[in-house]
Amino acid sequence: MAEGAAVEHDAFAEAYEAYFGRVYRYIAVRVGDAFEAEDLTSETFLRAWRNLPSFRKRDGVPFSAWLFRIAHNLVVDHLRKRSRGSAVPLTDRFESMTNTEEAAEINLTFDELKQAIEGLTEAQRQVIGLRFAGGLSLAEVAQVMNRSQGAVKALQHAGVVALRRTMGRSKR
Amino acid sequence: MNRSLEDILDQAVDRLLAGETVEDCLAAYPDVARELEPLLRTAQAVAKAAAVEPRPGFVAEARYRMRHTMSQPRGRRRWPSLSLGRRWALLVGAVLLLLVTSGMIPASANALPDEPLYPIKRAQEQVVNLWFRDDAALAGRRLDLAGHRLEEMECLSRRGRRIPPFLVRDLTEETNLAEQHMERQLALRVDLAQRLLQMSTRQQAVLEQLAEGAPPEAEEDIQQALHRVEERRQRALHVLEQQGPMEQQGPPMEQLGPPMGQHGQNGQRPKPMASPTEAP
Repeated sequence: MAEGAAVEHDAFAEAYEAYFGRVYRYIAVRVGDAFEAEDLTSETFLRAWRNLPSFRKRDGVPFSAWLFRIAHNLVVDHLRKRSRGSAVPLTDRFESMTNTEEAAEINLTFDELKQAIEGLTEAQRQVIGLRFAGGLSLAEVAQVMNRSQGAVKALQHAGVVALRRTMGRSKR
Repeated sequence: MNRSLEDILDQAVDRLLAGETVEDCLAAYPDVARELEPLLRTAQAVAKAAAVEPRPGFVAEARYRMRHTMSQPRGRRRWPSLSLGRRWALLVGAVLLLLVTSGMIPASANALPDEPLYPIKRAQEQVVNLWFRDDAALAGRRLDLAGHRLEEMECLSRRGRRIPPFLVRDLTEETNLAEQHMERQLALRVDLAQRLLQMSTRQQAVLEQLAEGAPPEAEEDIQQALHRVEERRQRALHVLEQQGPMEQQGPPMEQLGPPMGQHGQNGQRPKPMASPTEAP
């Protein structure tokens, strides 16, 4: 029993290190605020740890899909609360992450991405966030979203086309 | 055609995310290269823009918190739930950590939540907590920590820096823990009840200032914290009233501030502080 708990502990600690950055990036892209992303990332892993026994009962669902589903649900709840009031300004929120000259470029690109993503549907946003920020495979994204891989593929295509259009417009 | 482009785009995105260049990907699909190229360039820009990294200070603090949570039985979060052996093991580990990082500890004493040394300050606090055994001492310690959190909030606000939402939650958590320890001691320790009353009054003032300019996502945390503060305040007042006249036990009522929702005789609120998620 104690050995099982130790194995579970070590496995979760390993998963934590492996997924921490990816979960943070997914949440950051979705909420657009570094501090909010920090809070939600911490909460994602705390919930995952507390609910790990329920994950073990779900045969066939990979850990990554389960973890990102927790992150997604937290993001959705958070955005719902935020939408009740005024939107939080997004400018300069990622300024503190790096202080090199490269930071300005990344910061600007991130803001552009945030604005462009606003024009997508919720499902497209989720696919783009999970795929490009979370680094999940198409199959994993399909499991997070409870959709077929074909449907996710179509959403990814439509999302990239829409982003291309939006980014093209803003560059002009 | 469109369906096949969806498939090709997905395969190309996989290759792109694996580190291949756009040119490599296009070379693999020459028949659709013209249609694919703008989409892949967009995908590349999105992946690059999304590659944001968390602050090192946050990573360290989150890891510390996670380890702390994982070191306790799931669903129970209090030190008393640990066996004596585990507490000792943790204590030894913590002391080693203390020795290893001893040079950084003095430097971290005044660190604020958005500074790199802050996780060390918090880790040191946890280590010191292990030395407190009885409820009265633990209650006092938790009140001290709540005072630290409050000072950090005030300091951040004075400097026009953003107050992270976890600080509000930690403030409430420390005071809740203090209260739990006090519940067993309160009848005997009037001084603790006085400190609880003073702390609650101070918390109320700070939280009400925060609530003034708080964005919607922070409102719930602040309102819950205010609600708890008022409950605590009433409980402390009740204990003190049972023990005897207020004059003998601490500052007069007028020095302890108004109850919730009242802001002095002229009804004016104090100047708002920088709130959680509010950029300077």
